[in-house]
Amino acid sequence: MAGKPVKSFSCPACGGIVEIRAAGHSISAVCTHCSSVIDTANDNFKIIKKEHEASRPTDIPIGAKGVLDSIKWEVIGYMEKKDKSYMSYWDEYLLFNPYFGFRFLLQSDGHWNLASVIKRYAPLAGSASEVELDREKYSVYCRGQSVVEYVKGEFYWRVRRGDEDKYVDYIAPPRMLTVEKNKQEMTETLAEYLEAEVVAKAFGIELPKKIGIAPNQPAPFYGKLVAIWKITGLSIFIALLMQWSAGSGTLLATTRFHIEPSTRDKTFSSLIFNNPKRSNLFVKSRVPLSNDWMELGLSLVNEETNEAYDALQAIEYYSGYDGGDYWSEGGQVAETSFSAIPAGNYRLLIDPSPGQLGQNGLDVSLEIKRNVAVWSNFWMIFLLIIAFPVYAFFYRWYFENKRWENSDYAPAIYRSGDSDD
Amino acid sequence: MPRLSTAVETAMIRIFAVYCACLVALLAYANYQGYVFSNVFGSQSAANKSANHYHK
Repeated sequence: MAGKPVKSFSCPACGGIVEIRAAGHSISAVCTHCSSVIDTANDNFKIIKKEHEASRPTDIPIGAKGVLDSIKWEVIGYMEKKDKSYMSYWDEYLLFNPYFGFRFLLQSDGHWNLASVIKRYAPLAGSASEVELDREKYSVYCRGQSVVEYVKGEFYWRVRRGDEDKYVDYIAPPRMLTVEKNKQEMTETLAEYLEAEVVAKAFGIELPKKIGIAPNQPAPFYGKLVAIWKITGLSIFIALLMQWSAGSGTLLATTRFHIEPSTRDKTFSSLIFNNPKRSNLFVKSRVPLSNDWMELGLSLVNEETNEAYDALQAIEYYSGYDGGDYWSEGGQVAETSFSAIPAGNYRLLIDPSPGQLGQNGLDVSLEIKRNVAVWSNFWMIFLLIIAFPVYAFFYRWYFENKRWENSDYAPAIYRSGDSDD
Repeated sequence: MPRLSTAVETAMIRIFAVYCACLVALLAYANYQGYVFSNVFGSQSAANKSANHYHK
Protein backbone atom coordinates (compact mmCIF):
# COMPACT_ATOMS: atom_id res chain seq x y z
CA MET A 1 0.00 0.00 0.00
CA ALA A 2 3.01 2.22 0.43
CA GLY A 3 3.21 5.02 -2.13
CA LYS A 4 -0.54 4.96 -2.82
CA PRO A 5 -1.80 8.40 -1.76
CA VAL A 6 -5.24 8.78 -0.22
CA LYS A 7 -7.38 11.10 -2.28
CA SER A 8 -9.79 13.37 -0.43
CA PHE A 9 -12.59 15.76 -1.35
CA SER A 10 -15.39 17.68 0.35
CA CYS A 11 -18.74 15.99 0.65
CA PRO A 12 -21.21 17.90 -1.56
CA ALA A 13 -23.95 17.26 1.01
CA CYS A 14 -22.35 18.23 4.32
CA GLY A 15 -18.90 19.58 3.42
CA GLY A 16 -17.08 16.97 5.49
CA ILE A 17 -13.83 15.49 4.19
CA VAL A 18 -14.29 12.19 2.35
CA GLU A 19 -11.24 10.04 1.72
CA ILE A 20 -10.80 7.71 -1.24
CA ARG A 21 -8.35 4.88 -0.59
CA ALA A 22 -8.78 2.98 -3.82
CA ALA A 23 -8.73 5.95 -6.17
CA GLY A 24 -9.32 4.86 -9.74
CA HIS A 25 -11.13 1.71 -8.59
CA SER A 26 -13.91 3.07 -6.41
CA ILE A 27 -16.98 4.45 -8.13
CA SER A 28 -19.01 5.24 -5.02
CA ALA A 29 -18.13 6.41 -1.53
CA VAL A 30 -20.10 7.05 1.61
CA CYS A 31 -19.44 10.22 3.58
CA THR A 32 -18.31 9.29 7.08
CA HIS A 33 -20.01 12.45 8.44
CA CYS A 34 -23.50 12.34 6.94
CA SER A 35 -23.60 8.87 5.30
CA SER A 36 -24.58 10.33 1.92
CA VAL A 37 -23.54 8.16 -1.04
CA ILE A 38 -21.33 10.05 -3.51
CA ASP A 39 -20.43 9.13 -7.07
CA THR A 40 -16.61 8.96 -7.25
CA ALA A 41 -16.34 7.66 -10.81
CA ASN A 42 -15.18 11.15 -11.83
CA ASP A 43 -14.26 14.41 -10.11
CA ASN A 44 -17.83 15.82 -10.19
CA PHE A 45 -18.66 13.98 -6.94
CA LYS A 46 -22.41 13.96 -7.46
CA ILE A 47 -24.63 12.76 -4.64
CA ILE A 48 -26.22 9.40 -5.41
CA LYS A 49 -28.26 9.32 -2.23
CA LYS A 50 -28.47 11.95 0.44
CA GLU A 51 -28.51 10.83 4.09
CA HIS A 52 -28.33 12.50 7.47
CA GLU A 53 -26.84 9.91 9.76
CA ALA A 54 -23.61 9.95 11.70
CA SER A 55 -21.17 7.18 10.97
CA ARG A 56 -21.55 4.02 13.06
CA PRO A 57 -18.55 2.30 14.63
CA THR A 58 -17.63 -1.08 13.16
CA ASP A 59 -15.60 -4.00 14.54
CA ILE A 60 -12.88 -3.23 12.01
CA PRO A 61 -12.59 0.48 11.25
CA ILE A 62 -12.37 1.83 7.70
CA GLY A 63 -8.70 2.34 6.89
CA ALA A 64 -7.53 -0.54 9.12
CA LYS A 65 -4.79 -2.63 7.56
CA GLY A 66 -4.11 -6.30 8.14
CA VAL A 67 -2.27 -9.23 6.60
CA LEU A 68 -4.35 -12.20 5.49
CA ASP A 69 -2.89 -15.00 3.38
CA SER A 70 0.43 -13.09 3.35
CA ILE A 71 -1.21 -10.13 1.57
CA LYS A 72 -1.64 -6.74 3.19
CA TRP A 73 -5.24 -5.57 2.87
CA GLU A 74 -6.85 -2.26 3.72
CA VAL A 75 -10.47 -2.02 4.78
CA ILE A 76 -12.09 0.50 2.45
CA GLY A 77 -15.79 -0.27 2.71
CA TYR A 78 -18.36 -1.72 5.04
CA MET A 79 -21.92 -2.92 4.55
CA GLU A 80 -24.40 -4.33 6.98
CA LYS A 81 -26.81 -6.68 5.28
CA LYS A 82 -29.98 -8.31 6.44
CA ASP A 83 -31.90 -11.31 5.24
CA LYS A 84 -35.48 -10.17 4.71
CA SER A 85 -37.06 -13.49 5.66
CA TYR A 86 -34.87 -14.71 8.49
CA MET A 87 -34.09 -11.23 9.85
CA SER A 88 -30.48 -12.26 10.32
CA TYR A 89 -27.71 -9.67 9.97
CA TRP A 90 -24.16 -9.92 8.75
CA ASP A 91 -21.24 -7.61 7.98
CA GLU A 92 -19.33 -7.32 4.75
CA TYR A 93 -16.00 -5.50 4.77
CA LEU A 94 -14.47 -4.61 1.44
CA LEU A 95 -10.70 -5.11 1.44
CA PHE A 96 -8.37 -3.61 -1.13
CA ASN A 97 -4.81 -4.16 -2.24
CA PRO A 98 -3.58 -2.31 -5.34
CA TYR A 99 -1.86 -5.46 -6.68
CA PHE A 100 -4.40 -8.10 -5.71
CA GLY A 101 -7.64 -6.14 -6.08
CA PHE A 102 -10.64 -6.65 -3.81
CA ARG A 103 -11.71 -9.21 -1.28
CA PHE A 104 -14.64 -9.41 1.12
CA LEU A 105 -14.29 -10.13 4.79
CA LEU A 106 -17.63 -11.43 6.01
CA GLN A 107 -18.78 -11.66 9.60
CA SER A 108 -21.89 -13.32 10.93
CA ASP A 109 -22.46 -14.32 14.59
CA GLY A 110 -18.73 -13.97 15.25
CA HIS A 111 -17.80 -16.31 12.36
CA TRP A 112 -15.57 -14.96 9.60
CA ASN A 113 -15.01 -15.68 5.93
CA LEU A 114 -12.61 -14.32 3.37
CA ALA A 115 -14.33 -14.15 0.01
CA SER A 116 -13.65 -13.11 -3.53
CA VAL A 117 -15.84 -12.72 -6.59
CA ILE A 118 -15.14 -15.50 -9.08
CA LYS A 119 -15.43 -15.43 -12.82
CA ARG A 120 -15.72 -19.20 -13.43
CA TYR A 121 -19.41 -19.76 -12.90
CA ALA A 122 -20.56 -23.06 -11.47
CA PRO A 123 -23.11 -24.63 -13.84
CA LEU A 124 -26.72 -24.26 -12.65
CA ALA A 125 -25.62 -22.25 -9.63
CA GLY A 126 -28.61 -20.50 -8.15
CA SER A 127 -31.20 -23.01 -9.29
CA ALA A 128 -29.74 -26.47 -8.58
CA SER A 129 -29.63 -27.96 -5.12
CA GLU A 130 -26.10 -29.16 -5.69
CA VAL A 131 -23.41 -27.59 -7.88
CA GLU A 132 -19.83 -28.47 -8.73
CA LEU A 133 -16.97 -26.03 -8.71
CA ASP A 134 -13.31 -26.94 -9.07
CA ARG A 135 -14.27 -30.65 -8.77
CA GLU A 136 -15.89 -30.01 -5.42
CA LYS A 137 -19.59 -30.54 -4.77
CA TYR A 138 -21.48 -27.75 -3.02
CA SER A 139 -24.85 -28.35 -1.38
CA VAL A 140 -27.48 -25.67 -1.11
CA TYR A 141 -27.77 -24.35 2.44
CA CYS A 142 -29.92 -21.29 2.19
CA ARG A 143 -31.92 -19.19 -0.26
CA GLY A 144 -33.00 -15.72 0.60
CA GLN A 145 -33.20 -12.05 -0.22
CA SER A 146 -30.64 -9.67 1.21
CA VAL A 147 -31.00 -5.98 1.71
CA VAL A 148 -28.28 -3.44 2.44
CA GLU A 149 -29.07 -1.95 5.84
CA TYR A 150 -26.08 0.28 6.31
CA VAL A 151 -23.11 1.25 4.22
CA LYS A 152 -19.92 3.20 4.77
CA GLY A 153 -16.57 3.70 3.03
CA GLU A 154 -16.04 3.24 -0.69
CA PHE A 155 -16.96 0.58 -3.22
CA TYR A 156 -16.15 -0.42 -6.77
CA TRP A 157 -19.85 -0.50 -7.57
CA ARG A 158 -22.71 1.84 -6.81
CA VAL A 159 -24.10 0.78 -3.49
CA ARG A 160 -26.74 2.31 -1.30
CA ARG A 161 -29.04 1.44 1.51
CA GLY A 162 -32.02 -0.61 0.50
CA ASP A 163 -30.25 -2.38 -2.39
CA GLU A 164 -31.70 -5.85 -2.65
CA ASP A 165 -30.31 -9.11 -4.02
CA LYS A 166 -31.64 -12.62 -4.20
CA TYR A 167 -28.99 -15.01 -3.00
CA VAL A 168 -28.29 -18.73 -2.68
CA ASP A 169 -25.60 -20.10 -0.38
CA TYR A 170 -23.96 -23.41 -1.27
CA ILE A 171 -21.55 -25.03 1.14
CA ALA A 172 -18.64 -27.43 0.98
CA PRO A 173 -16.96 -26.65 4.31
CA PRO A 174 -14.73 -24.77 4.77
CA ARG A 175 -15.89 -23.10 1.53
CA MET A 176 -19.13 -21.41 0.65
CA LEU A 177 -20.31 -20.37 -2.78
CA THR A 178 -22.80 -17.52 -2.82
CA VAL A 179 -24.78 -16.68 -5.92
CA GLU A 180 -26.33 -13.20 -5.87
CA LYS A 181 -28.77 -11.95 -8.45
CA ASN A 182 -30.42 -8.62 -9.02
CA LYS A 183 -32.01 -6.94 -12.03
CA GLN A 184 -28.64 -5.96 -13.48
CA GLU A 185 -26.28 -8.84 -12.83
CA MET A 186 -25.44 -12.14 -11.25
CA THR A 187 -22.28 -12.59 -9.19
CA GLU A 188 -20.72 -15.63 -7.62
CA THR A 189 -18.58 -15.25 -4.55
CA LEU A 190 -16.38 -17.98 -3.14
CA ALA A 191 -15.73 -17.69 0.58
CA GLU A 192 -13.47 -19.67 2.86
CA TYR A 193 -13.93 -19.92 6.59
CA LEU A 194 -11.45 -17.98 8.71
CA GLU A 195 -10.84 -18.53 12.40
CA ALA A 196 -11.77 -15.36 14.31
CA GLU A 197 -8.32 -15.38 15.94
CA VAL A 198 -6.75 -15.02 12.48
CA VAL A 199 -8.82 -11.90 11.81
CA ALA A 200 -8.17 -10.51 15.30
CA LYS A 201 -4.45 -11.02 14.90
CA ALA A 202 -4.40 -9.61 11.36
CA PHE A 203 -6.13 -6.37 12.31
CA GLY A 204 -5.03 -6.18 15.95
CA ILE A 205 -8.57 -5.95 17.29
CA GLU A 206 -10.89 -7.71 19.69
CA LEU A 207 -13.77 -9.49 18.02
CA PRO A 208 -17.21 -10.62 19.15
CA LYS A 209 -17.61 -14.17 20.47
CA LYS A 210 -18.79 -16.86 18.11
CA ILE A 211 -22.40 -17.93 18.36
CA GLY A 212 -23.53 -21.32 17.09
CA ILE A 213 -22.08 -23.05 14.07
CA ALA A 214 -21.48 -21.28 10.79
CA PRO A 215 -22.83 -22.85 7.57
CA ASN A 216 -19.34 -23.57 6.24
CA GLN A 217 -17.49 -23.94 9.53
CA PRO A 218 -15.17 -26.93 9.24
CA ALA A 219 -16.37 -29.91 11.26
CA PRO A 220 -14.19 -31.20 14.10
CA PHE A 221 -11.21 -33.20 12.85
CA TYR A 222 -11.67 -31.63 9.43
CA GLY A 223 -9.22 -33.34 7.08
CA LYS A 224 -7.98 -35.57 9.87
CA LEU A 225 -10.53 -38.38 9.98
CA VAL A 226 -8.52 -40.40 7.46
CA ALA A 227 -5.45 -40.15 9.70
CA ILE A 228 -7.53 -41.24 12.71
CA TRP A 229 -8.92 -44.28 10.89
CA LYS A 230 -5.48 -45.17 9.51
CA ILE A 231 -3.99 -45.16 13.00
CA THR A 232 -6.96 -47.15 14.28
CA GLY A 233 -6.79 -49.72 11.48
CA LEU A 234 -3.05 -50.16 11.76
CA SER A 235 -3.20 -50.56 15.55
CA ILE A 236 -5.98 -53.14 15.38
CA PHE A 237 -4.20 -55.01 12.59
CA ILE A 238 -0.97 -55.23 14.65
CA ALA A 239 -2.95 -56.26 17.73
CA LEU A 240 -4.69 -58.97 15.68
CA LEU A 241 -1.36 -60.27 14.34
CA MET A 242 -0.04 -60.46 17.87
CA GLN A 243 -3.15 -62.24 19.04
CA TRP A 244 -2.96 -64.79 16.24
CA SER A 245 0.69 -65.44 16.99
CA ALA A 246 -0.02 -65.87 20.71
CA GLY A 247 0.04 -69.43 22.03
CA SER A 248 -2.81 -71.78 21.31
CA GLY A 249 -2.48 -73.48 24.68
CA THR A 250 -0.35 -76.38 25.92
CA LEU A 251 -1.96 -79.14 27.93
CA LEU A 252 -0.22 -79.52 31.30
CA ALA A 253 -2.42 -81.96 33.12
CA THR A 254 -5.79 -83.64 33.22
CA THR A 255 -7.58 -84.99 36.22
CA ARG A 256 -10.75 -86.87 36.80
CA PHE A 257 -12.64 -87.80 39.93
CA HIS A 258 -15.98 -89.17 40.96
CA ILE A 259 -18.06 -87.36 43.53
CA GLU A 260 -20.89 -89.07 45.36
CA PRO A 261 -22.92 -88.28 48.48
CA SER A 262 -20.34 -89.88 50.78
CA THR A 263 -17.49 -87.79 49.31
CA ARG A 264 -19.30 -84.50 48.76
CA ASP A 265 -17.13 -82.70 51.32
CA LYS A 266 -13.85 -84.15 50.13
CA THR A 267 -11.11 -82.04 48.52
CA PHE A 268 -9.60 -83.59 45.40
CA SER A 269 -6.17 -82.96 43.97
CA SER A 270 -4.58 -83.15 40.55
CA LEU A 271 -1.14 -84.63 39.92
CA ILE A 272 1.78 -82.24 40.22
CA PHE A 273 2.50 -80.49 36.94
CA ASN A 274 5.17 -78.06 35.83
CA ASN A 275 4.59 -74.61 34.42
CA PRO A 276 7.93 -73.96 32.65
CA LYS A 277 7.55 -70.21 32.23
CA ARG A 278 5.33 -67.43 33.58
CA SER A 279 2.04 -67.66 31.70
CA ASN A 280 -1.67 -67.84 32.14
CA LEU A 281 -3.29 -71.13 33.17
CA PHE A 282 -6.76 -72.19 32.14
CA VAL A 283 -8.78 -74.84 33.94
CA LYS A 284 -11.59 -76.36 31.92
CA SER A 285 -14.08 -78.48 33.88
CA ARG A 286 -16.61 -80.83 32.46
CA VAL A 287 -19.47 -82.18 34.63
CA PRO A 288 -22.42 -84.13 33.15
CA LEU A 289 -25.01 -82.19 35.14
CA SER A 290 -28.70 -82.49 34.47
CA ASN A 291 -31.03 -79.96 36.09
CA ASP A 292 -28.42 -79.42 38.72
CA TRP A 293 -25.54 -77.15 39.64
CA MET A 294 -22.09 -77.46 41.12
CA GLU A 295 -19.47 -75.04 42.39
CA LEU A 296 -15.80 -75.95 42.25
CA GLY A 297 -13.44 -74.14 44.58
CA LEU A 298 -10.14 -74.22 42.69
CA SER A 299 -6.82 -73.60 44.35
CA LEU A 300 -3.62 -73.66 42.38
CA VAL A 301 -0.83 -74.30 44.87
CA ASN A 302 2.87 -73.82 44.19
CA GLU A 303 4.68 -76.89 45.49
CA GLU A 304 7.83 -74.97 46.44
CA THR A 305 6.41 -71.81 47.99
CA ASN A 306 2.93 -72.93 49.02
CA GLU A 307 1.57 -69.82 47.39
CA ALA A 308 -1.99 -70.43 46.29
CA TYR A 309 -4.18 -68.87 43.61
CA ASP A 310 -7.88 -69.32 44.26
CA ALA A 311 -10.89 -69.21 42.00
CA LEU A 312 -14.49 -70.28 42.15
CA GLN A 313 -16.01 -72.05 39.20
CA ALA A 314 -19.77 -72.40 38.90
CA ILE A 315 -21.44 -74.86 36.54
CA GLU A 316 -25.15 -75.33 36.05
CA TYR A 317 -27.28 -76.99 33.47
CA TYR A 318 -31.06 -77.09 33.25
CA SER A 319 -33.24 -78.37 30.45
CA GLY A 320 -36.83 -79.39 29.88
CA TYR A 321 -39.81 -79.55 27.60
CA ASP A 322 -42.38 -76.83 27.81
CA GLY A 323 -45.23 -75.81 25.52
CA GLY A 324 -44.06 -78.10 22.75
CA ASP A 325 -40.48 -76.83 22.80
CA TYR A 326 -37.29 -78.15 24.32
CA TRP A 327 -35.30 -75.63 26.29
CA SER A 328 -32.01 -75.59 28.09
CA GLU A 329 -29.88 -73.07 29.93
CA GLY A 330 -26.35 -73.09 31.28
CA GLY A 331 -23.82 -75.73 30.27
CA GLN A 332 -21.86 -78.71 31.43
CA VAL A 333 -18.49 -77.11 30.80
CA ALA A 334 -16.85 -74.14 32.52
CA GLU A 335 -13.48 -72.48 32.10
CA THR A 336 -11.52 -70.41 34.58
CA SER A 337 -8.33 -68.48 33.97
CA PHE A 338 -5.40 -67.82 36.27
CA SER A 339 -3.43 -64.72 35.30
CA ALA A 340 0.38 -64.61 35.01
CA ILE A 341 1.25 -67.69 37.04
CA PRO A 342 5.00 -67.82 37.73
CA ALA A 343 7.09 -70.80 36.60
CA GLY A 344 7.15 -73.73 39.00
CA ASN A 345 5.57 -77.01 40.03
CA TYR A 346 1.88 -76.81 40.88
CA ARG A 347 -0.96 -78.90 42.11
CA LEU A 348 -4.61 -78.06 41.59
CA LEU A 349 -6.87 -78.62 44.60
CA ILE A 350 -10.57 -78.94 43.86
CA ASP A 351 -13.14 -78.41 46.55
CA PRO A 352 -16.55 -79.28 45.04
CA SER A 353 -19.88 -78.04 46.35
CA PRO A 354 -22.49 -80.07 44.50
CA GLY A 355 -26.16 -79.23 44.29
CA GLN A 356 -28.64 -82.11 44.58
CA LEU A 357 -26.13 -84.82 43.54
CA GLY A 358 -28.01 -88.07 42.95
CA GLN A 359 -27.14 -91.44 44.46
CA ASN A 360 -24.93 -92.35 41.49
CA GLY A 361 -22.78 -89.25 41.90
CA LEU A 362 -21.03 -87.41 39.08
CA ASP A 363 -17.80 -87.70 37.15
CA VAL A 364 -15.84 -84.47 37.12
CA SER A 365 -12.99 -84.08 34.61
CA LEU A 366 -10.59 -81.15 34.40
CA GLU A 367 -7.99 -79.99 31.87
CA ILE A 368 -5.21 -77.59 32.80
CA LYS A 369 -3.63 -75.63 29.95
CA ARG A 370 -1.00 -72.91 29.87
CA ASN A 371 -0.23 -70.09 27.45
CA VAL A 372 -3.73 -69.85 26.02
CA ALA A 373 -4.49 -66.94 23.66
CA VAL A 374 -6.77 -64.64 25.65
CA TRP A 375 -9.21 -63.01 23.28
CA SER A 376 -10.80 -60.98 26.06
CA ASN A 377 -7.46 -59.14 26.28
CA PHE A 378 -7.65 -58.33 22.58
CA TRP A 379 -11.27 -57.16 22.79
CA MET A 380 -10.46 -54.92 25.74
CA ILE A 381 -7.59 -53.30 23.78
CA PHE A 382 -9.85 -53.12 20.71
CA LEU A 383 -12.50 -51.20 22.68
CA LEU A 384 -9.90 -48.82 24.11
CA ILE A 385 -8.53 -48.15 20.61
CA ILE A 386 -11.90 -47.75 18.93
CA ALA A 387 -13.25 -45.38 21.61
CA PHE A 388 -11.57 -42.28 20.18
CA PRO A 389 -12.59 -42.77 16.53
CA VAL A 390 -16.12 -43.54 17.66
CA TYR A 391 -16.12 -40.35 19.74
CA ALA A 392 -14.75 -38.38 16.75
CA PHE A 393 -17.42 -39.88 14.49
CA PHE A 394 -20.33 -39.06 16.79
CA TYR A 395 -19.00 -35.62 17.68
CA ARG A 396 -18.76 -34.87 13.99
CA TRP A 397 -22.27 -36.17 13.38
CA TYR A 398 -23.56 -34.00 16.23
CA PHE A 399 -21.73 -31.02 14.77
CA GLU A 400 -23.16 -31.58 11.28
CA ASN A 401 -26.60 -32.02 12.78
CA LYS A 402 -26.26 -28.65 14.51
CA ARG A 403 -24.97 -27.05 11.32
CA TRP A 404 -27.98 -28.17 9.32
CA GLU A 405 -30.48 -27.25 12.04
CA ASN A 406 -30.44 -23.71 10.63
CA SER A 407 -31.06 -24.78 7.06
CA ASP A 408 -34.24 -25.59 5.17
CA TYR A 409 -32.22 -27.84 2.87
CA ALA A 410 -30.70 -30.30 5.36
CA PRO A 411 -29.75 -33.69 3.90
CA ALA A 412 -32.14 -36.47 4.95
CA ILE A 413 -29.62 -37.93 7.41
CA TYR A 414 -29.75 -34.73 9.48
CA ARG A 415 -33.52 -34.29 9.28
CA SER A 416 -34.54 -37.00 11.74
CA GLY A 417 -35.76 -34.51 14.34
CA ASP A 418 -37.99 -32.55 11.94
CA SER A 419 -41.73 -32.67 12.20
CA ASP A 420 -43.59 -34.13 9.25
CA ASP A 421 -45.85 -31.18 8.58
CA MET B 1 -1.07 -18.12 10.86
CA PRO B 2 -3.17 -20.73 9.06
CA ARG B 3 -6.79 -19.92 8.24
CA LEU B 4 -8.07 -22.79 10.34
CA SER B 5 -6.72 -23.50 13.79
CA THR B 6 -6.13 -27.24 13.84
CA ALA B 7 -3.27 -27.30 16.34
CA VAL B 8 -5.37 -28.88 19.10
CA GLU B 9 -6.74 -31.55 16.79
CA THR B 10 -3.28 -32.29 15.38
CA ALA B 11 -2.00 -32.71 18.94
CA MET B 12 -4.97 -34.97 19.75
CA ILE B 13 -4.15 -37.20 16.79
CA ARG B 14 -0.50 -37.44 17.82
CA ILE B 15 -1.56 -38.32 21.35
CA PHE B 16 -3.96 -40.90 19.91
CA ALA B 17 -1.15 -42.48 17.86
CA VAL B 18 1.05 -42.74 20.97
CA TYR B 19 -1.92 -44.06 22.97
CA CYS B 20 -2.56 -46.78 20.37
CA ALA B 21 1.12 -47.75 20.32
CA CYS B 22 1.04 -48.05 24.14
CA LEU B 23 -2.09 -50.22 24.03
CA VAL B 24 -0.59 -52.54 21.41
CA ALA B 25 2.60 -52.77 23.49
CA LEU B 26 0.48 -53.52 26.57
CA LEU B 27 -1.28 -56.35 24.71
CA ALA B 28 2.07 -57.76 23.60
CA TYR B 29 3.37 -57.62 27.17
CA ALA B 30 0.19 -59.16 28.59
CA ASN B 31 0.29 -62.01 26.07
CA TYR B 32 3.98 -62.64 26.78
CA GLN B 33 3.58 -62.61 30.57
CA GLY B 34 0.24 -64.37 30.57
CA TYR B 35 -1.85 -61.62 32.10
CA VAL B 36 -5.61 -61.91 31.79
CA PHE B 37 -7.00 -58.36 31.99
CA SER B 38 -10.44 -59.44 33.14
CA ASN B 39 -8.83 -61.13 36.15
CA VAL B 40 -6.51 -58.20 36.84
CA PHE B 41 -9.49 -55.82 36.85
CA GLY B 42 -11.47 -57.99 39.24
CA SER B 43 -13.92 -60.06 37.26
CA GLN B 44 -15.95 -62.61 39.24
CA SER B 45 -14.10 -65.51 37.69
CA ALA B 46 -10.79 -64.00 38.63
CA ALA B 47 -8.32 -66.07 40.49
CA ASN B 48 -7.36 -64.58 43.81
CA LYS B 49 -3.87 -64.96 45.11
CA SER B 50 -3.45 -66.06 48.69
CA ALA B 51 -0.33 -67.13 50.51
CA ASN B 52 -0.12 -70.53 52.20
CA HIS B 53 -3.83 -71.12 51.95
CA TYR B 54 -3.46 -74.85 51.60
CA HIS B 55 -0.77 -76.99 53.21
CA LYS B 56 0.83 -79.99 51.67
